[in-house]
Amino acid sequence: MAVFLNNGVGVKVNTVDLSDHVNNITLNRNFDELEVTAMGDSGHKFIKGLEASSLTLDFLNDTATASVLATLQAAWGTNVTVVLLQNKGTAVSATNPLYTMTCLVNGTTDINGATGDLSTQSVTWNVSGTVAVATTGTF
Amino acid sequence: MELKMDHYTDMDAWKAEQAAFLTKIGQVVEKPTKSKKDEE
Repeated sequence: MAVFLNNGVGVKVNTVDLSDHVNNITLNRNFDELEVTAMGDSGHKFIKGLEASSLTLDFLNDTATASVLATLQAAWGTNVTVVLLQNKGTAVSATNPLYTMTCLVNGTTDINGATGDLSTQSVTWNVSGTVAVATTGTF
Repeated sequence: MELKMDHYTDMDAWKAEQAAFLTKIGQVVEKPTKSKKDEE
């Protein structure tokens, strides 16, 4: 294995492949930390609580049917399936796992930017439930 | 306690949980993702 260029990530929102309209992705896999420090301990101690993951996507806006704006407008306020793959051009495997999650679509900025800017939007969605990581399946 | 080495998800259990959640909140359960390649 080696380092790699991060230009092959696949992104599907509600089954629509928006990979070619996304230029930045951050999957934040977090969980709550529950403190279990007790008498006799000399430092804080924690265990894993509920998962609290989120996903940040930067989109290049497009008004075309079944593209960015139409997909996000239709999904706004609902929980939709989001699928991520590190390398879209390669089959799902242990070295290219498939990430699947249900996200509550919120915080869209359908109209955004100054004169002379490219129309873009950056959204951060909370994951409802957990992020599934699988070594089989299709993007 | 043994450390859990397999960090991959049980997809059947995960899908069942997500379907139960979507049903609970009154959202239609989506059809499985189908790529263009699958459809051909």
